[in-house]
Amino acid sequence: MSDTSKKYILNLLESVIPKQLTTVLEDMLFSIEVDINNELDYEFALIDNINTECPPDTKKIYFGKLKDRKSFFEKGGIAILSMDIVNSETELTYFKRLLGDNSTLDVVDSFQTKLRALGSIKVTDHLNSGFYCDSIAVKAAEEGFKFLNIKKGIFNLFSLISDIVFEDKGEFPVDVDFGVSGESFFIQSHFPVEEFYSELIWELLSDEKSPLSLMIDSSKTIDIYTLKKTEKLVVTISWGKQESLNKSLYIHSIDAFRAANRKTKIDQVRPLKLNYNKDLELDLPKKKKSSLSLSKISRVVTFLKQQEVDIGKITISNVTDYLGNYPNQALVANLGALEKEEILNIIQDQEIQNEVSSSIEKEKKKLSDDLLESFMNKVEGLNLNNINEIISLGLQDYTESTQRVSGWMDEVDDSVQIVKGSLEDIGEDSILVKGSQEDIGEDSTLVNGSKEILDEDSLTVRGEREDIGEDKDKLELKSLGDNQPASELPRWRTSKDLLVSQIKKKIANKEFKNPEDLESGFSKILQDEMNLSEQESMALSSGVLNESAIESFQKRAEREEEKNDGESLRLKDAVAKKDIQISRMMKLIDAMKKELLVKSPKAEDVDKLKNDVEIKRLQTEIENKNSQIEILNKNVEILNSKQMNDKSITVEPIEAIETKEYEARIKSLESTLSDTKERNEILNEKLEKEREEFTIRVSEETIQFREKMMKSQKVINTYQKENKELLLEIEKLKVAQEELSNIEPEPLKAVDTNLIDEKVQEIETLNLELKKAADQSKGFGLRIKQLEQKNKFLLAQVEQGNRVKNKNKSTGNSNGDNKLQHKVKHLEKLSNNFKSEAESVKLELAEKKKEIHKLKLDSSLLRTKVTDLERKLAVNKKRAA
Amino acid sequence: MLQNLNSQKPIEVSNELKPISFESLEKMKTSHGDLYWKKGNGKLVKLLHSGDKLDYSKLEKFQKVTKSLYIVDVCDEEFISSGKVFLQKLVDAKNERERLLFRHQFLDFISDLYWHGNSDGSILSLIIIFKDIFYSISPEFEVEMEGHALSTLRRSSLYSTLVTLTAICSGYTHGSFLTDLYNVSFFNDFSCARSLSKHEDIEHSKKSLKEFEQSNFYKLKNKSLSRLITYHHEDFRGRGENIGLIFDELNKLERISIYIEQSISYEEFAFSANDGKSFINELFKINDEDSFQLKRFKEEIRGEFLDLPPKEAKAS
Repeated sequence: MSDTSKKYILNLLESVIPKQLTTVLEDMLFSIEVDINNELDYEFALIDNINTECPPDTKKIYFGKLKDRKSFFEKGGIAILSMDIVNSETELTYFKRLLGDNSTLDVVDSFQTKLRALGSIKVTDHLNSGFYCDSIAVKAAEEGFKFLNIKKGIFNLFSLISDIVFEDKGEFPVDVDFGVSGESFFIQSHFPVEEFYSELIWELLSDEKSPLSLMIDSSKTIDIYTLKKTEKLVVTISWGKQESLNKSLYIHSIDAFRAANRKTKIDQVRPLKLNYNKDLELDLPKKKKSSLSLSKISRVVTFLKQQEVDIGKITISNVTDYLGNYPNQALVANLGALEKEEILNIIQDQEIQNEVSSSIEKEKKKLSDDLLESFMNKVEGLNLNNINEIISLGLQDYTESTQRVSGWMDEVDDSVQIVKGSLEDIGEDSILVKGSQEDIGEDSTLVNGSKEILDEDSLTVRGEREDIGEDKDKLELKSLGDNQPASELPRWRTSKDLLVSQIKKKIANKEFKNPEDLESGFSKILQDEMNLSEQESMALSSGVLNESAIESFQKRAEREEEKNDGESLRLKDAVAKKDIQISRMMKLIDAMKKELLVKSPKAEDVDKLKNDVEIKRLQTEIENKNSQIEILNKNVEILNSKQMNDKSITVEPIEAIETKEYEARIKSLESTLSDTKERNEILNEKLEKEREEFTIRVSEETIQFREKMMKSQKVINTYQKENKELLLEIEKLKVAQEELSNIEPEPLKAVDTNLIDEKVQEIETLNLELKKAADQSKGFGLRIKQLEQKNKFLLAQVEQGNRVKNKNKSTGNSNGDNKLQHKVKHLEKLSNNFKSEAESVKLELAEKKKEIHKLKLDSSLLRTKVTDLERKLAVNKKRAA
Repeated sequence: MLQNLNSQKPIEVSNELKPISFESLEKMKTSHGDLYWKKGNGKLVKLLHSGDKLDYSKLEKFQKVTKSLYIVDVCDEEFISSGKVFLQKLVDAKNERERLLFRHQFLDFISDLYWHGNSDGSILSLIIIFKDIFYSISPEFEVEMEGHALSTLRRSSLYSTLVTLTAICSGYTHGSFLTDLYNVSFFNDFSCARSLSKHEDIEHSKKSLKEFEQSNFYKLKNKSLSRLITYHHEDFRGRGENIGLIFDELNKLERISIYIEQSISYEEFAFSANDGKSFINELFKINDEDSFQLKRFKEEIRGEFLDLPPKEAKAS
């Protein structure tokens, strides 16, 4: 079992490992192993023999010199180093960074010791690098370094960065720091990259004239790596004071291209732009364009698929290995990393391939002018390599790839004069040859072999003389041999002109009714004029037609894209306007809602609830509209993305119907918006109407309330009056009672029976008065209770009035509100007065009851006295009798 | 850091109020101060906050009721005009030598007030200079922000100005690049402004980037600058709480963006006539409690301001 917490490094050096290296490795807590143990995971392996076997996935660090650097890095190498690094602190810093030591963009922190920063610059476009290149070189010269190498190195660094930016793999600004570290002058640069992969760098190693190779030539050490989190590419170069042949190159921490993993991101973020070149800006131009057309890429993809290889195993590094039998090796030799990337992107995406196929089929349904024009251009642009390539792919026969296309050579004899120029068909019976006469002399011979282009107007053909037979009007395809650029052969050129003129003639005579006619017609011409077999001619004809269909489609798509650009802008504007309208509506509704919330004190208010419901409904509607707008925006984006794709690959064109569909959507959105507006207006009107009705109703109710209050006041006044009268009567009774109580019963002798009778009569009267008063008091109590009930009712009305008032407030701010408020306040005041008066009447009534009770007591006392008097009187009468 | 903005005394309207003609207002894109309408009874109604976008079509209607509006002007018109000339030259320059020259002239021009504090002036003048030269976001953006997030918009104006100024100072000179930088800086809190996330939500940076890309309110030429939106809340001390970036992996521009973001308050700004004095100097003042990295970062910026030779001279 491997100990995952421990780091292992394999020392497979055939020479003795320097002590300084051992120290560094031990300091970084590496366990140095000299034998391969399959149970351990080795992160790094140190080697000095390129043939040394290492465990798979181990990063190889090579000490020594290598010619084929590219191959080394492709096979898991991360650095080619000189043993001199052990003598330099700066170089060991690079080495530590390679092994995983923290990297920093901060120059001061990078090289803790012996570092002197001399300055920093920011390169923000392609056109200011030269200025800084010279400026930094001057600084280096001041420090005693050979400025020429440094200038070359910096120039090539900026060229490399410009290429990366141009290929849309990186962006400005480039932050550059420079200074002196020990005996080295260094420059550290970093800039943002996107979808950058190691093959882009490795590819440059195979080209001696690439900026990277030139940088290596002029410097001592180069360290290239990426910072993953912030997606930056860091390139550090250093130079010694003396030129050194012991160079070090680090290329690490850069992900390799993984087409399958990257596809999704590419599709989403940046559609393929296989044949796309527009808007060249002086500021920050972007290339992102393959030098290969889509039709050529399709040829390569077709070939790879025919090979029945495991597509998942094809990488940028090994794709050329799979193209060893490709019939056009000149094309393979010119494949760069970007072209390879695009080939891999297509071959691993069946969807794109299907789109290409379906586009071809669609385009071949009708013989359009575009298709004819593309076809003619294609035929005019054919060279022998292309022909061989197309036929081989069509027949899926690569065995005779170098033999099939042969002998489309010049035939020159005494009777022939080569006239440079092109043929022009001026009628059925004559051909006008435009151009100047060229005398090739009587000694000229026809040779079969390769040509050597001296300049645009002349060429030398090397090879041996060959009898081309008697039938000199026919062309024969014979071997061109390897690497023979045959496209410019005069014989072929002339023959091609003949082919073109024949096709043109047939087109003018409308002999081709449809693409099938064109395909078969061209095949027939090829058979007649070029001695091709039927199979070969059909393969070539079909291949040319298919490629013409692709190009024709692309042209049309580009035109439509231009048209749709305008349309898209118009749609975007429309969407933006709708956004603003919706934003305004939202604001309006928000404001209305806020107003309602602020002015509606009670949630249970039915009208408020109604309004809330209505507002919620409107909000939902607005949300729906927003989502529609979002969908529309997405559609516009999709439209844009489709347009981008249209520039490059064959995807469905944006039909006019689709545009109309967007227009219809916009219109429908507009009508929905206007409906929403109308609904809003209706709601406003309704609210206004309700407000007015409320105001009227409230004022009527106020008047009624006032009348009721007046009546109540009158009743209260009446009762108050009656109360006063009652009080007076009670007072009278009191006085009478006092008078009665003051009467001393006369001696029995003097007591007159008449007086007793009078007293009894008075008592009876008093009793009657008491009863009457009690009855009145009861009635008064009943009326008081009635008044209380009325008062409660009126209070309820006042409260309702208040609610009405508040409701009224919420629906508007007119003067009527203020009046209503005033009225309600007045009513409240009256109600309060009434309450207080009712309270005082209650108190008075209670007092009256007390007094009545007291009177009752007096009356009963008086009655007792009267009874006593009567009894005494009766005794006296008996005695008298 | 920007306490001078928040702790200033309320403006004495009566003392500083000046009439401003509609002709002058028509030329103004941004309000140079708080703008008022004086009603018939002498009561003042505030129409615009200082630094707000001035939409003349909305103010035009006041012409029917008054001959002039009133403003508490905190800006120096002459200063703004001169500053714009210098900055425009920098933006228009076609080669690096020119750019460095105009950069030097511009920084030299503003440093007297904003760095050395030798004269009086408002930070709003600087904001207006940058806005007039660089602002090129779709009008719908301001409509949306004014509707939902006016204070965020006001803050963004200051933030964008300071980030772009510091970038210029650090040697980023290309007009197209600076224009992108200024405009993209308005979108840091775009998702919050759209109420799609709260500012406390650490994910709001990523959401803002998404919203920015989808809105099409501004099309970046330098696409990588949109990363600044995602990075703007990264921890400057190197801890990296959002994406988890470490200080050492950030470039100068990213450090500038993060530092300015941390330094500007989210409170409402009230510009005054003298709030710009030594403003930038204060912004990059080194404090004892600053980390080693922060101190060095500030030292670098201070070095640029204190010693303003053109880069040309530095390099040669």
